[in-house]
Amino acid sequence: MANEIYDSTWWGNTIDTASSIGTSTEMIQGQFNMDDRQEVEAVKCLADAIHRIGIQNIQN
Amino acid sequence: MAKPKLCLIPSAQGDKFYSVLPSSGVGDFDFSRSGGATRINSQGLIETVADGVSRLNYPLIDGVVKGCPYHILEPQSTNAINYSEDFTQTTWSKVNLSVTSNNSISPDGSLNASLITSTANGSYLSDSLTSYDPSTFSLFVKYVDHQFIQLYSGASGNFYATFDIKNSVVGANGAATDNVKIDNYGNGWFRISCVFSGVAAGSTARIGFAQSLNSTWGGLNTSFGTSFLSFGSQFESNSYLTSYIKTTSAAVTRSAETANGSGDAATFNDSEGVLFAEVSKDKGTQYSLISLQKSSVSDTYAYIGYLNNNTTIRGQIKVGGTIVLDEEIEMSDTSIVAKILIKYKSGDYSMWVNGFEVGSNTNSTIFSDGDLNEIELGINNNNGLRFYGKTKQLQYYDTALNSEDLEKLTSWVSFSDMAEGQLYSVE
Repeated sequence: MANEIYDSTWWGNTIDTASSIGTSTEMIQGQFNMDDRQEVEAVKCLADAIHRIGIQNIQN
Repeated sequence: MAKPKLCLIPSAQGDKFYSVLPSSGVGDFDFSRSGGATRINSQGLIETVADGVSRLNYPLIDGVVKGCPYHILEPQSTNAINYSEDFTQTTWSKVNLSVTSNNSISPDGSLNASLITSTANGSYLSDSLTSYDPSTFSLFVKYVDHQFIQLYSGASGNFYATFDIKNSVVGANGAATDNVKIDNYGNGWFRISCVFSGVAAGSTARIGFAQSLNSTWGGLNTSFGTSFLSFGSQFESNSYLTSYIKTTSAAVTRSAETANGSGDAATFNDSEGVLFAEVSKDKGTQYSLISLQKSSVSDTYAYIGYLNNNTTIRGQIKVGGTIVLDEEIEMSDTSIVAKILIKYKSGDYSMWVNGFEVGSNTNSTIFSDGDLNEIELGINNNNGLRFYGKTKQLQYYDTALNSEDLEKLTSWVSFSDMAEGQLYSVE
């Protein structure tokens, strides 16, 4: 389901990212809080970067 | 690998550079610029950004937006040309040519490009202006049926560059002219540019119908009836090309940009940590530093820095006036994006660039509690050391990562990732 809305909505990106970064709730919270402070323009870029950082965090 | 304590992924514009970590927002950089500026938006078009708003600029590779945006920081620069987009104005002398306004879609997506047509031999546009040393002359052009364009100063044969706008090739240039470039903006548009230096480049900026790619100063057309499209002329008070500054009836100055104030004393570990940045420096003779520092104190910092050339990256850490790490590496071109980090820990300092350890130091001196309280794109609010360039990401880790992690952090995951990250096209 997440993939269907990935790339198109803020929520979709965040949901998709969540599955990869496990219990790192601060990163999810960081995305939401950042969007609260200022509308994110490059949504997929931010989600992809957090996904990448989350993966490297889990792998070690 | 540990999770970064502070993480900037350029993805939003506003009065800050917004950091996703810490989630509280304490990692946001305060951004300033008086007045507007332009950027390349996600559609690859030139777009005006309002007073005080930071800029996300999208990379163009072969004229197409490819990859994620980066933040840009630029110095003050003045476009001395009046009516930068309106070549019908009387400030433009039109010698043996005609101008048809609003003829085609320009690189800003509007119907405001001018068709310039030669009506006799020796065709050129000329604008009187205040000149500088150095100065950078640029123009957006699109081929119609005239192939060669020359940017030159009316003052001296030392100041000229000739371009083939059909095949995107740089040709002859004068003795006091360098950094001749032709950048692809897509849809047939190119931004041609060159830098004049040595002495002020006279009082007229000229755009000529060159006869050939080898045409030297003022070597103009010997037949006529041909045309090209033109938009966005710029003659700026800077030693390198910067983003487009639109003008009308007078010169316009884009003010210098700053970004600082990221994090606080609680964010940073004074005993150990890593500052990592994926960045490039704008071409030019300015220094550009990114520092993790003790605010308002000049003797306690850790910086990733570019020297005042276009080749040297330096990492330096100073604790209470004692230099504990000072490493440099020579690059082919520091305007190409690099992944750089410095690590600090008592007896374990190092600097890494693009997957390799540049150097290390076992000095046991380390910061005191409460020393480190800010990341600045610059250092100590010093105007001469501000960072001017592209920021693709910036991270701070509050632990001294091991060598495997440092190598991973400063490497690209694939060849295509590296090529795209460094804005190369792969054929």
